[in-house]
Parts: sequence; structure tokens; C-alpha cells
Amino acid sequence: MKQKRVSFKNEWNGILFALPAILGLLIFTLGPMLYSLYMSFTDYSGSNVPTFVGLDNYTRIFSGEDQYFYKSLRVTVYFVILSVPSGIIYSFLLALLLNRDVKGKAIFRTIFYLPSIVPIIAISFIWLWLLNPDLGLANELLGALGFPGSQWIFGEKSVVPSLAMMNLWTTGGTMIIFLAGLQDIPRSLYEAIEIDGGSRFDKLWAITVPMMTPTIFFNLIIGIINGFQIFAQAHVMTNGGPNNASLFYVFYLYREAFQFSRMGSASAIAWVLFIIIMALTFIVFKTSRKWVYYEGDGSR
Amino acid sequence: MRKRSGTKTILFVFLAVMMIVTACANGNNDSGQSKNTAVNGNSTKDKSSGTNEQVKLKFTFWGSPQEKKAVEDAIKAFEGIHKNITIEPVHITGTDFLQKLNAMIAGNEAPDLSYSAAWKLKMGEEDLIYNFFDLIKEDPSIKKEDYLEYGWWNWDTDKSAGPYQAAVVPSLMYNADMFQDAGVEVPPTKASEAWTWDEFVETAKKLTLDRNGKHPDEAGFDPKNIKQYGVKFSLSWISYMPLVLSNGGDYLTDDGKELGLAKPEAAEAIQKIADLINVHHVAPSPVQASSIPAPATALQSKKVAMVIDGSWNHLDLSKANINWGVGVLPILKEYKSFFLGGSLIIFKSSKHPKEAWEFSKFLTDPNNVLEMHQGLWMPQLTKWYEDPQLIDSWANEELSGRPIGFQDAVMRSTFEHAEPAPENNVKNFVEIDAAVAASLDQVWLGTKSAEEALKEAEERIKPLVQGTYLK
Repeated sequence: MKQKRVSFKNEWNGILFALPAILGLLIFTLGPMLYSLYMSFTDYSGSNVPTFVGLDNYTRIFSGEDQYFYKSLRVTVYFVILSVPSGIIYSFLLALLLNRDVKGKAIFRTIFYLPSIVPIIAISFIWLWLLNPDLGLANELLGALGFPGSQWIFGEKSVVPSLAMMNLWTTGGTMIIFLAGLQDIPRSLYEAIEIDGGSRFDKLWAITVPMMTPTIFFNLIIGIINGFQIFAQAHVMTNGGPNNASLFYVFYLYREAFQFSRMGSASAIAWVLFIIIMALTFIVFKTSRKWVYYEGDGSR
Repeated sequence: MRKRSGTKTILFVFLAVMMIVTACANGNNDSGQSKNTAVNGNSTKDKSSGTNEQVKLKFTFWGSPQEKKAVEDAIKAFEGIHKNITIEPVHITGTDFLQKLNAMIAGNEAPDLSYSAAWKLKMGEEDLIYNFFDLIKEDPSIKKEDYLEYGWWNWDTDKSAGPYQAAVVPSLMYNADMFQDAGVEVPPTKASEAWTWDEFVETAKKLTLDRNGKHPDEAGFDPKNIKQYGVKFSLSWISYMPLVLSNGGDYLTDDGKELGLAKPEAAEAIQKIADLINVHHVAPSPVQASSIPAPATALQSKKVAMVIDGSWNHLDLSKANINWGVGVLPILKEYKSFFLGGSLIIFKSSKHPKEAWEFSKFLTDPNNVLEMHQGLWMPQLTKWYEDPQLIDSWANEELSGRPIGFQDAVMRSTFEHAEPAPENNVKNFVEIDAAVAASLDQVWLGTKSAEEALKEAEERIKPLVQGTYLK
């Protein structure tokens, strides 16, 4: 009896300490979210009294009456498909390199991490210069190597690949997480493979990659979520152009809300994105059972 | 016992939070409704009578530091005359303006009056702002006819969000030194002597140089390495519409049912501008333009010899140390141009619309913000274009913001040849133009002809085309 009372007191104290976070979540996240869910069923311009219109906002976007919805979805999915796998492979390879005992390891790590703490607006401006088709470094380099240049972000076909490429530059955060994961792999496993006469490739394929799958899984989820929310590049560098070729979903949402003053419809668009991301995350979680290896998980 | 009370407390906290959340949500609706009914219930007259009552007005506006200062000075002058009114100026940067204003409205903190852009028409339809024509009816000191003919922002027939509070116009600006270096005559300043398109292209060619100093007509000219462009056209409706109008086209067709830009007269004009870039190589493409600085700096650094863009650039040009001038726009058939600008709106939630109206009238009178009218704004009261004495006070060519030729090239050419601007005339303009601008990207980049691109745009925006406010 007595013991139970003490443990309950602890429970109560625990809740008390967690209360700021819980309240924060309720007031600043859950509340506004539910409010926006309600708004997505209304005709709301930002200044008028919202009137309930049922599913009108949703039918408008799904029926294709709003010509930008599917376009922006296609553009965004294309970006995610290009940028997420390449970002993970690139930062994984970087992490492998920087995990080795090279001279000036700390400096290299800093250099590769640095871009991810530069504000995205500043990064956008730097790349605007680099990717300028006439004067930019990118085309100068290609030219010097004898390759033809590209229109980069000014071409309808090249704008999304250009932005995906630029995205690689900012994957320092992902790299750090991979580095942390790499350092967690017990040395004894490598030693065992050395004794068995395994090659470097064996080490990578039989130990490093399987041991890293939880980290890859984590980075994949985060990558997909971030990829779908790409916005600043379209806002600063391309304004969604040329000819809507970089009309990313969130930029489309922003335009609907703040340029066309259709907050109700923008709320619906936001909820569709929420559901898309939820569904994709769920799918990745489901498939993860097949390929993610957890140490100490006896079932595999 | 204890356990139960603990659960109760938690439950209570959760309930309390949910109540706050829902209350906020509902509060918004309710207050919105009550706000509107209160406004509709009271007429303007009830509120106006007490002139001795101390009144405070909130006024939201945007603008450069100079504009901010000029507006604040005007407020001081206004408060000097109207001792019972104090005005609280709220300066918001242009890019955040609508978001902040919406937040203020949603939070029941709407200003009494405000600067406004195209979004105001929606507010008019939602009955959030006063119909300017209702307010003007009650004021004998001024009438509708005193204002420029096409200076109105209407959301319906006889329903107006006001006249331009200050106007700007499309303008051709140039660096005179570059004309002298090339041995070319500067642009004409009288509309009757405006360059034909061919004359304009010829001049632009003489002013265009590649790295080796060659002109576009000469053998060996390298269009990839142009050092100096003859002209930079800002690639928005503000700059291409004068030429479209000049060729007999318009944004919508006369009956307002179709996209006029897709018609041959308009498409031809737009194609001619695209040809400046892709055929004649005298103007930068959007790609090349991305590395060219803002108009005043571009002219000053001799990257371009002429700029066709809004007259708001005159202010920057007057501050730059440069020998600049203005000319009339080139034409295809006859001279056409337009005024454009924002207007002052008065919110129906205002408790003091009469006082707000007084201030709105005060700020629209160039006398009270003369400094701004001597370099940036243009008046919207017709008499300021007709009375020589008044003209002299704002358009005198001795003023640093008003170069030689200003009165003919900017003031008269627009005043005498003004058409309605699509922005304040075409319904759903903001959305239509977003689609048109995207399609025109391909025209400026040279991947499609103007006719093709605009025909495609026409298909896509059919549901948005719903006529104009003036017809």
C-alpha cells in the first residue's frame, strides 16, 4: 500500500514536470492543427468570417479544378525521389571517409558540416551565383572540362535536378548522424572478420551496412519529411518557375494562402500534405521490418 | 482518495486547455460576426458628429525609410490641424503586409485605415471596408470627378476601395552618357514623336556591345558575352502592357470573356519584346538578367543603356550620381500607357470612419505629402495635371527626382493616353497573372512563341476569366 502511494506521487510529479511540454503541445501544436482542420472545411480568406463549405476545398483540389495541385505534387515527388536516396548515399560515403584516421579529420568534418548551419536563404543566394548559366562557376567548370553547360535552375527540365544537387551540399546533419552510428559499431566484429580473412568490402557489406540500417532508416524518414517540405529554394531562387517547373507543394500552399488569400483551401492543401507524409512514413516503417537490423533483437 | 483527486486534476487541466483552445477558435468567429453586425447596424453619420471627442486612429502602411518619414511628417501636419485626432502609424514591410494585416483583423485589432494592394477587392466583397463612393457622397468638399478617370479600385459597379492614393507609371529611363558615347540621339519625350518599334530596336542595337566591342549587327558578334545591353525590359505586365495596348490589344477581350493576351495583336507585341532577347540580342533574358543589378544601379554601372520599368525607380536614380533622363515608351501603333498604384482603405470595424476619411483625404492631397510627389509619387487629382502652378510644384524639372523631359515624357504622355491598368480592372487578376507569367517564362527563354504559350495559358485559365470591373 505504502509503496504504491509513493510511486503515484512520483507519477504526479513527473506529469507536473512534463506539463509545460504537454501544454505547449496542446496550445501551440494540437490546438492550431485542429483549428486548421476545421478551416479546411470553410471558405476563409484570412479576413472574412469563415463559412462552412463541407468538402468543397478538397474536391476542388482533387478534381483538378485547381490546375496547380497535381503539378506541384509531381514536382515535389520528383524532387524527393532525386534528393533523398542521393542525399543518404552521399552523406553515408562522406561519413565513411571521415570516420577513417585521416590527418585533419576534425577540420574536414567541420568543413562538410558547415553548410548545414548556414541559413537556407544564404545558401540559395550562393547557389544562384554558382548556377548562373553565363557567369556561374558550375558552367565554367563544365566548360573547362570540355562539357556543355546547363541552364540549371533556369531550365524547365533542369531546375529540379539542380535543386536536388544543391541539396546534397547541405546534408552535413545527416552525415553527423551517420558518423555517430559508425562509431557505435563494436570493433570486435571487424576483428572477427579480419581473423576470418575478410576483405574491406566484406567488412562494409557484412558489418557496417547491416549495423547502420537503423540509422539509415532514421535518415530516410527524416529525409522524406524534409524533402516534401522544401520551400525556401522555390521562394528565393526560382519563384516556382520557369513555367511552374519548381512549384513545390509547400510553395504552392504558401501562394494559395498569402497571394491568393484562400486560407481555407490552403488549410486543406496542408492537411493533404500531412496525410501524404503520414502514409509514407507508415509505409517505410512497415517495410523497415524487412531490412532494419537491431542489435540485441533476437528474432533475426 | 488521493488517486482519484489526482486524476480529476489532470482531467481538469486537460478540459481547461481544450476549452481555451476551442474558445479561441470560436471567439474568432463570434467576434467576426459581431464586428460585422455592429458595423452594419451603425451608419457613418452616428459616429461622425462628436468632433470634439478625442479620437485615436490606427494606420497601417508600407514604404521605404523616406516614404515612412514623409508619411509620419504628414501625420504630424494633420494632427496640427485636427487637434482632436491622433494617428498611430504602424509601418509594416511590404512583403509581410497582408499576413500582418490579416492577423490584426483576425485578432480584432484591425486598423482604422490602411495602404492596400490588389487583395483589397476581396475585402470589399466581404464587406470589410467602406465603399469609397458612399463616403464621398457625404463630403461636399470633393467629388468623384476630381480624380483621374482610371484611378479607381472597384470591386463592383459603383463600389470602390478608393482612388490611387499615389500613382506610378511604366517609364523608359536611360543613361545619357551612354547615348553620347555611342553617338545616338536620346529617346524623344513627346508622345507624338515616340519611336516606332524599328527605330527603338535600331537604337538598342547601337547601344549593345559584346566583350570585343562589337554590335549585334556586326560579324563576329558574340551573343553569349554581352558586356552592355541596349535595353532591359522588366518582364512583367507593367512593362509589356503599354506595348500590347499600343498595338490595339488588351489583357482581356472587349467583352471580358476571353484572355485578350492570346489574341494576335497582343501576342505580336509580346513576341516583339521576346525578340529583343532572342533574335536581336539587345536585351537580357531572365537568365542573364539575374546577374544584372536593380535598374538604377544597372544604368549607373553601364550594364544597360535603357530600362523599361516602373517610375518608382526615379527615386533611386535621383539618389545615384548619374546623368539620367526619361523618354516616352516606344510604340507599335499609337501611344498608350496607364497609371498604377495602391489606395487607402477604411475598415468598417473602425469606430471613427469620419475622422479616418478626413485623414485619407488629407494624405491623398499632394500638398500634404509634396516631398513624396517630387520624386516618387504622381498625384491622382486631375487638377494637378492641368493647373500650371500646381504642376510646377511637383513636376518642376529642376527637382532632383524630376529629370529634363519629365513633364512631357512621363506626366503628359500618361495623363493624355491613359487606359485602365489590368491590375485594378480585371477580375481575378492576381491568379490569372500568376498563370500568364508562368507561361510567358517560356516565351522569354525562347522555347515557345508568344502565340503558342498564350494559347495554352488561355485554356488553363478559362474559369478565372470573368470580365472587368469597368465594363
